[in-house]
Amino acid sequence: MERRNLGRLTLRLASVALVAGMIALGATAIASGNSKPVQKSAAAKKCPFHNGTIRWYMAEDLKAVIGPDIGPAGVRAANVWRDYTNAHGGVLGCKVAYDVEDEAFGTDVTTCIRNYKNALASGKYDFFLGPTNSACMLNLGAIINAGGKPLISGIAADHEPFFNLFKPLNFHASVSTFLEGRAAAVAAKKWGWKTASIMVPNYAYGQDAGKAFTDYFEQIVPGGKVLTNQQPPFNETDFSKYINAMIAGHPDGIFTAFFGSFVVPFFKQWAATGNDKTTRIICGLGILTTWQAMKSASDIPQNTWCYDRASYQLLEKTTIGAALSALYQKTYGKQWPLTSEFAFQIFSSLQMAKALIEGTKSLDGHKWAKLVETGRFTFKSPYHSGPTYVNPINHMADSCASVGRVVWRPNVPYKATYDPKSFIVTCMHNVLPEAQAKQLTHNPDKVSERAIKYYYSHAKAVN
Amino acid sequence: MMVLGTTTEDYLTQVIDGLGSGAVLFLIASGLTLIFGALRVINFAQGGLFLIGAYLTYSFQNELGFSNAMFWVVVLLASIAVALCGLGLEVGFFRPIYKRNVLTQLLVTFGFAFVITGLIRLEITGGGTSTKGPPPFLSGHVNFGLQTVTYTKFFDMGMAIAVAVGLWALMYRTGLGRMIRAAVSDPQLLALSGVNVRLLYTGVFMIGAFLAGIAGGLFTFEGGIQPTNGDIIIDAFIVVVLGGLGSIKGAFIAAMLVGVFEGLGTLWLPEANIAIVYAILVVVLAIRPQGLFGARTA
Repeated sequence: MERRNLGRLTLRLASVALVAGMIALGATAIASGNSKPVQKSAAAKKCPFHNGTIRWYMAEDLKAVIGPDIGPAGVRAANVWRDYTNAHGGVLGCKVAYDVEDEAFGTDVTTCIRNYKNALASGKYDFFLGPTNSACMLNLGAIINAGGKPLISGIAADHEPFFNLFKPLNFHASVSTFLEGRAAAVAAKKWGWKTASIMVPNYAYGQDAGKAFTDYFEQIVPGGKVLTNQQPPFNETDFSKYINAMIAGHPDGIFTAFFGSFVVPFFKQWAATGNDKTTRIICGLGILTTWQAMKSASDIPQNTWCYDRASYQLLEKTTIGAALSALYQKTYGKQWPLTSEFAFQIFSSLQMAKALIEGTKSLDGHKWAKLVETGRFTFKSPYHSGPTYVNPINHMADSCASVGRVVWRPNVPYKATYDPKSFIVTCMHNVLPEAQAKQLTHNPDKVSERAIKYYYSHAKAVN
Repeated sequence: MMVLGTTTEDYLTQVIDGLGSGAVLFLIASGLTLIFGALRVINFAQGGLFLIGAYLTYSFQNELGFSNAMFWVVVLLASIAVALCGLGLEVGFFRPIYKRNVLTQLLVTFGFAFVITGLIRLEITGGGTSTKGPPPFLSGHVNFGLQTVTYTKFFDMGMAIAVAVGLWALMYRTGLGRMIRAAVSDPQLLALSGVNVRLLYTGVFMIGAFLAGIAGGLFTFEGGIQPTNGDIIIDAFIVVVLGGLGSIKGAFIAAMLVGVFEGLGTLWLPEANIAIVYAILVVVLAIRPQGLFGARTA
């Protein structure tokens, strides 16, 4: 009897040890995914600020819940930018440094918010970059502004902190969900759609993108109508009922707002119905993580287009995009052969911060806002070869989103990709006219008409 | 938003498609309700086992090939492997908690669902992957006007019926079934009669895990898998509660109801079709707290 009990105990202990070992292995892998510890900066001679170092904070999805080309790519981009900037004299002679923490991406928004609150309370940081999680980003404007520090958009593409939740110290350096949805509507109009059915996964990003598409589509297409708005759960994998409901209305096209690899089962099921031969779809945010999940040409339905916030195929053609991407490839190319959309977002955010600091010779967010509100502020972003202007009303950069046809190209690292000849590029100034910008954002600083006119006339002229 | 369902085809496709979706749900829920019926444990780790089944099917397909014949071999192998995982879990972790309170059982089984999801996420570095979809003999669809129902939905329905009949036969037409039912009524008396109740429990748990493996295998038909797909256990739990905890028949009917009403919800209430299912759950539980076919307890 004792021997039997001992055997049973041994078996249990072995199982416990096995699982504990696997958990420990997982924890080690996550820890090693964090950025290198911030080096203690040697105070530069000319730096006008406190300890010779400009320091920012960000919380990102370090565990790669959605994919390694999102949060971890943002950290890789921050490392590349920091190292390059420090090697070339820093910003106003100051070293740059940053700290990053895992934001616990998912439904746990409180961890992300708490991280930012603690970082703000520590008094260590001069500015903040936004997180990966949209729901967290929505809350940060008020918190960071209350602490008197500037907040620059990071990976989360929320537009609300620049519209109805606008705060004077909020700055947007990359592509917003608003622009993505409107860029898709521009493409739909170009193709002659009069009706569309939409399917937006039931979470903040999907609903924002769907609303942006619907509002603008019905605005710019005379008689344009969105027939149905299907909202499957975030983790839905069986889309047949939604496909049938969307097709029931005989739409000219389908707009969906999938994110990353979540689109894959929809692609398969859409193609299996045969509707792909006759009906064009805009698949949602097609990014490297999406393409990585595609295993063969048959994974891509016919007539499939997706929208993107920073395709390497486009951004590597701009001066800054090419330079930063080359640095990224030099550092990480063996493991990460392409620069992801989210890396470009972080690049753009940091380029904006650099220009604001240099333009004002200050770390004071209010001075930054004042500069932006002249309408003349520009920075070198990866979105344009020329200068990128920033809208003085809402502090949003004149970035550009693209809609492109998805094709299979065996000669590129991620074989599912965009056809570079197919891109329809739309920038913020194209889809947010002056009157709407004023209507959507109530900037308490009362921006002058002259500044607004200057911004719109010059943004249009940039390549 | 306008109501789109206006034609017979609209409704017909949603009903048939819903029965197909309900079928996969039943396969997961059947294991859940079987384990609860016999062991009185609500095994939320079933979602993780389902996920293992899906990923193993995907891996075996890549290793062994993808054809009509190989499809059966792969799903069977994956399901057996999941059953063995179930064996490890039951012996190593769940056996000690059978006599603990419900909260402990819930936390342990739910915890394992997260552990399995996390380990899979680490293995595939976070992202999902496309799968090969259905085998060649199931590639195709039936047209109802513009709408379609894929062959896989009919196949899933067939599998669900086969599993339901098989479980019924197991429970009511075999000696093993008699022992399981006896174990539910009085495990101590059964043990005194010479039956190894502990082994019986392990066997039931393995059957439940095997069913989760089959469900995972069939799930790869959808064309892609994500580590988050284990969340389907929530839907399966709704099915089990709606049907009545421990009732195979109840799980079958509830799964079909959930599938059909989710489908019809896309026509009636597109922005909130899932809410219809929860509304049904609330109404049923308000009228019959034990679920549609659950045994009334004192």
